[in-house]
Amino acid sequence: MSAQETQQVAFGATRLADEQLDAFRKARRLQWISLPVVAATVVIIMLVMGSSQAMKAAWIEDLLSFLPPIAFLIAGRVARREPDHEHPWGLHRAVGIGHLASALALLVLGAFVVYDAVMTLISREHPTIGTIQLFGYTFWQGWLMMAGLIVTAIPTMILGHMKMKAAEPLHDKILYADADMMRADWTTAGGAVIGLALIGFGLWWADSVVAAFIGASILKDGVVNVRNATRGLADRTARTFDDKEEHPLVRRVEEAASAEPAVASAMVRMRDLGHLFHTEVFIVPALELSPAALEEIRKRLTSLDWKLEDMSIVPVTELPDC
Amino acid sequence: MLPDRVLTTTFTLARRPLLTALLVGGLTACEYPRDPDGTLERVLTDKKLRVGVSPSEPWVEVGKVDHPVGRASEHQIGGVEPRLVSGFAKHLGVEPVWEVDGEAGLVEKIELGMLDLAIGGFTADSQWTSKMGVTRAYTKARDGHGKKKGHVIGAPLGENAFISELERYLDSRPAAEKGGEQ
Repeated sequence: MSAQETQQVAFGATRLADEQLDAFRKARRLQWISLPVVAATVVIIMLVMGSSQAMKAAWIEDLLSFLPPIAFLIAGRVARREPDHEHPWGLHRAVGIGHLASALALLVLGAFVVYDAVMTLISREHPTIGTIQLFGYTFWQGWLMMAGLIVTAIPTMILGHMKMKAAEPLHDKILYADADMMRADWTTAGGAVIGLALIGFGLWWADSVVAAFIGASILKDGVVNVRNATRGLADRTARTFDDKEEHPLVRRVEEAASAEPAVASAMVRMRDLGHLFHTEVFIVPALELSPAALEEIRKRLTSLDWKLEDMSIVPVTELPDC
Repeated sequence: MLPDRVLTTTFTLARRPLLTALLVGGLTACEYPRDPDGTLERVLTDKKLRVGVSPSEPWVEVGKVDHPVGRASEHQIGGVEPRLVSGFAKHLGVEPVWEVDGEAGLVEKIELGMLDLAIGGFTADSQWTSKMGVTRAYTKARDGHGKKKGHVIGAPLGENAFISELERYLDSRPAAEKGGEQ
């Protein structure tokens, strides 16, 4: 990192405060670490997966894990560019676009995994898993596959937990989706291990059933994220980093604006550009307001949160409907 | 939270190797993995190993053979693979029953459960692997193009106990018996 960078990291025109700076640096470091970890996971699983459908599904899910870190690193770099005449609101939408791109990949591949598993089940193909000879010992390949699944699941879950801690302070939806999926990797690994154990007991169909479940879970992640990413790009009112509810800042800014002595009533429109929000505060002034007075109000409101830098105060005679 | 409990259990098992070994040992002791269609059990009960052969020198020789190991109607059968399979049958304490057919015919009979094993110089990259299970390569040899390929023996898909037993037997045989270049 250059000397300039160590002093200031900005999302567009907004310089990041310490908490966000820490979270951003940590997140970036975690995403760079994720790349070799995911690569190692993909290679290990590929080497041991044999002819198990469940392991093939787990492998595809691992391959997909490359996308969110790459999307995060690219979007993070693009979003930091200063706004200019071409892009007056900055390039924060890169985050939303990255979110949508990864979500689409999840959707398509999740659907493929489910289809593949169901086709294998219908064709009644029994998975053949024999022995393997390592260091002079001959043992059932299933054990090696289970070991591969468990060994690769552990660093994945740990990385997932660590990324989740950085997602909220940064309000980064790519990071949240990524962390959520990595954290849940134990269900994929556990399911595949159970599938293998059941194959050992002669229940050949368990493999495809587990694969179908893993595919369904990837598909669900795809659907939920495509829905949220699309709505965000379509300027839905800003929501929390996990898209679970409306962002509390919408209410907070509205109440703070209404509480201003010079303001009779106020209404807020807030949309999520990526890391930052774009806010329009409509006010019905209680008295004549000079530009300087308006600027004072704007300063007080933007100081409520680091994400509010891009805010416009719009004096009106009557508040709009929504 | 659930993930933490899973991690804790894993670390507990890792720190108690004896417990883990008992679990694993217990599982392996009580016939694991199993055959979904019970091939190994049937072979041992009927005392018969039904083997389909397709001629492919030097792996399978059919007709007039120098050192035959069996016969199917009026044909003598010999070669690397029949010799290995014959030894496997003896190891199990059963009689091999031979049948001659082309590759496609053998694969179909395996699919229909009419044969237990299929030998014919099959290679590891064989196109039949979606219809017929194969062992790990027991030896390697160069094909007509000069490319090194692993040689395998065919069995019904998914009969993992049976295939594992055969693989263990093949592992125990000396390289000289297996032909090719190890």
